[in-house]
Amino acid sequence: MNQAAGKKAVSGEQLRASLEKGGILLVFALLFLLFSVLSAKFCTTANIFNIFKQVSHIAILAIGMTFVFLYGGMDLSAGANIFLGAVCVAAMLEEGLPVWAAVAVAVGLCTAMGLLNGIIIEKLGINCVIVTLGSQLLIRGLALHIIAEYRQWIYVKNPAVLYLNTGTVLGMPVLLLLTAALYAVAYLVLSRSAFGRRVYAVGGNERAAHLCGLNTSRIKMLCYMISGLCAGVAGIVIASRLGMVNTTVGIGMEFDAVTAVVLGGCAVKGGEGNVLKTFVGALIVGMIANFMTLSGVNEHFQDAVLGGFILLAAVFNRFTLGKND
Amino acid sequence: MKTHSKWMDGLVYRLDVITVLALAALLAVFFSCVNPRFLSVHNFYNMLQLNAALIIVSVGMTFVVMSGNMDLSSGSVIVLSASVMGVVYRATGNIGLAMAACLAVAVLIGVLNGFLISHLKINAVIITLSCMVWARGLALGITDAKSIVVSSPVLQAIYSPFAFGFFNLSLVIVVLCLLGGWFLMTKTRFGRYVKALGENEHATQLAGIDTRRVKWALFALAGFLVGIASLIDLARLGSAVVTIGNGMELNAIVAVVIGGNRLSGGKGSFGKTVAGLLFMCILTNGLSTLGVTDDKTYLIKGGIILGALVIQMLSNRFRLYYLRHANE
Repeated sequence: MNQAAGKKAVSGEQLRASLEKGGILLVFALLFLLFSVLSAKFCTTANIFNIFKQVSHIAILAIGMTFVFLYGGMDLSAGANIFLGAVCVAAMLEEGLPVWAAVAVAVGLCTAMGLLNGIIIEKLGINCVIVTLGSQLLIRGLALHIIAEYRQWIYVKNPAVLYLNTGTVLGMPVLLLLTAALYAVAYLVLSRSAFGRRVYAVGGNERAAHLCGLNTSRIKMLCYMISGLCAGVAGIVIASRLGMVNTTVGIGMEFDAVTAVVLGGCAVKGGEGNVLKTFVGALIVGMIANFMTLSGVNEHFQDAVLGGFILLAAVFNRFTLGKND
Repeated sequence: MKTHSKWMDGLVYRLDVITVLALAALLAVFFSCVNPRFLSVHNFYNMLQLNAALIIVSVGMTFVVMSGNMDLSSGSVIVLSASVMGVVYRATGNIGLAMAACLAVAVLIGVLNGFLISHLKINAVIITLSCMVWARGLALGITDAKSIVVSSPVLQAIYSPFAFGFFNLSLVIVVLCLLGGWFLMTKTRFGRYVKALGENEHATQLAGIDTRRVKWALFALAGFLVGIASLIDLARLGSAVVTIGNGMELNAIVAVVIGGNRLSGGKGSFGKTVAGLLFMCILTNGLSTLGVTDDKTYLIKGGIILGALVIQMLSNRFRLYYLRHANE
């Protein structure tokens, strides 16, 4: 009797563990099948490449968010920061700077904003949610201030930046290759480098990591800088995708990134998660948005469904992740 | 051994409230330099009226923060319950039913969030963040992002004075919410449990208290207060506007925290919330009287909030340092 109960418990634990490992892929496959059956236009090569392109800025933003989540934090200023990156690159090109300089200024400024978040959160010990909610206003204000100089609307005419969106290499969209390359780097950093292991260590048990001699506050500040850097790159991507920048860019994008990260199984308390699963999470976000647009769902209800997905993902993680979240 | 006078100790002990009051005074001086009419009884009265919803939401937020949680959904719940009220009123023309629907939506969302947080033990930030997204999406979806006019004598009565030429129902509701919240927090068992929860959840549970029920109840209470705030704001605007409640969650959390209530829970008081509210009300009201463009409003507001948080944190460090050494 006891043995049978023990066996059952083990298989329950195994089910949990396998769901934790592959649950997100299962969800992805099921949704893909469902959408393909429901819509004839969904499962075509053109549309799949389209999804990859549509989701690229969210996927890149989600890389930074993954770093922040892994140490146990949250960055709600990412949406404003992507806007700053897009405005900056478009404005610098409009001023006649060469592409590399415009890109460097945009990414540099966004990284500096990430550093600002990190300093306030770490050096002064203020909760990350409230700091990034506040700095979001500051960053959006700064970007709005810049774009106001150009009558709230900047066209991106530079061929090199536009090539990001339209170009293909060996039949693959450049954006897809760029996203894949960034994910490969992030994966190698997190799984193979000392810094990556330290991020996991701080997220798993900050006090223990500190006692082991890690400079935990520097690691956390670096995570925020990476989040800012990714927001800058994502800003350039979205400027290229839209071909223009106006004041509505970036609104609510932090939620898309958080959805991707939570869908990917990152623990909100930190220490657990895998950046490649974040990519699958971002693809799911893109697939749902694409399917809803194809079937003509009102854009506001799309937001509602997205919010529902964060909720479902959090509940799913609650039952599959090893520790209570 | 150093000697410290008693009043100095008392002063430093209350340094968090003093800091935020000083910051509020500084802001008031700045705004009255720009606009001389800022420091007038009339404007102060206006400020109270415009921020009635913020004050009521902050009462609920004080409970949530005191228990060591955070509620990012209040702004979105305000717009959703106001939209539901508008839709119900447009469909039936029955104001009583519409008001009931508004309150019911807010309470139900509070109960749902509370259930997910207390019984499924999911992080409050992620639950209320998702609620922030889906509630706003739903609100814009059911109204198609258009305002719905709700004009009824019942709602107009909230803002029409019935005594001394200025005293109206909205002020009564605000005062009742503040007093009720204060009473609940300091004089009842529930308030003590909330504080205990914020101080140490595990110990509270070991002491034989059903922490899940307390958590659930406090999110339902916060939801109810958000519902009232939504009613009051709708009555002020006369229609269910889609921008109603924008940024409310940030304003309420900052009001609670800037006054010196500890964000990780357990420590704080309603006096601190009121001091923080004074700061936030002066900031939002003053910014709107400045008449500057959107970008500058964002910049100034973000800068001042971050700066005030930093100053408050530094003064708190000094306070702890002083109090530790005062006893040596």
